[in-house]
Amino acid sequence: MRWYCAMLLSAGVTSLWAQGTVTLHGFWARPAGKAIPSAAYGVIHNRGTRADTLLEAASPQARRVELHETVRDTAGRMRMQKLERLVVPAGDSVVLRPGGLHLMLYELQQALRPGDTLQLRLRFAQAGWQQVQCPVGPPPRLRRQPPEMPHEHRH
Amino acid sequence: MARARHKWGLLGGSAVLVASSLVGCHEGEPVREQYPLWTQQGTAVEFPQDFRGRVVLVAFFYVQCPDICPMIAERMRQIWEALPDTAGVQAVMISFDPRRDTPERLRDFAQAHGLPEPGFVLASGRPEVVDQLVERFGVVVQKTPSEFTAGGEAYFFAHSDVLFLLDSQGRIRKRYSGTDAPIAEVVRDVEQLRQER
Ligand SMILES: [Cu+2]
Repeated sequence: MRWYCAMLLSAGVTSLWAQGTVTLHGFWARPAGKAIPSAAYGVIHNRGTRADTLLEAASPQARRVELHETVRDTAGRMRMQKLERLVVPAGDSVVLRPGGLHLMLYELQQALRPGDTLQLRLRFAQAGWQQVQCPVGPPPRLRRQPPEMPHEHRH
Repeated sequence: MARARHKWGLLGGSAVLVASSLVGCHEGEPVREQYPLWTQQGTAVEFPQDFRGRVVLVAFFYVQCPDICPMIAERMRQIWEALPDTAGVQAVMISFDPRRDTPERLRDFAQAHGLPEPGFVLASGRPEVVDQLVERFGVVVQKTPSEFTAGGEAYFFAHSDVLFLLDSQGRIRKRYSGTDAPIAEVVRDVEQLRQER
């Protein structure tokens, strides 16, 4: 299965989504202009007793989604490499986070602005298609708390 | 320069790259060459001359970087917000992708990552100028074509992950990992260089 076929296929398989043992947590995506690639991150948890494998990903908002890993090469450069699959061991989690594993989104239909939501689908060998909503914004740990409502006391 | 590159090649982490104290004045020669750049406002600047008199945090990046450069920007913003006083301090992010990173795209990037103006200047310049500047700072940049998209826009860069601290004389006084710079340490170093002015 090729990553870039995902768009074509995902349309027809909605009804086949399995009640998987894979769950997706804390997904979010980076803001990006229309011509700029974005990246999505989150935690994939497999509470099953068998390993599962992420095989492809798709989004209605991007032409192509690929699984990448950022690595430091021997010259000290940071570079991205593409992965064809990602094994999620039984009873374990895999974390996609900045500077490591991420889902790269190419050719966005529209710019992603903070506050937008990115729809993402991931296909697993066992669990089938899983859907997740990714709020767009800075990494969750850097998000500013919404300003507190001013308390106005009028007497 | 060759020395800097060598250092980067051998060591991966952040804190281990340099001794924890600031490099003495005798070690860092001022960057005397002038590099004409443009900013996110489309304004012409001479780097580093136009920032003399200020303590300058400098990083190299490109807008289309989906993973590492946003982390560098976030880290610089965190440092900026942790500074007790930003008077006499400047953050400069220089794009090594001038063909795509127009002032408008630089502005977009600044906005997307909440980089405050005028504290943050995002800049780029003519390709040959940027190449020389990158070389002068010992930053390693390598264009890597994307395996997918046809058409001219599809390339990424493998690049160093580094943040520089320049004193008010334009001397490179310290290097940190860009994505991972220890915030408290950078804040302390900036304060120390501010006192030296
Ligand atoms: Cu990537």
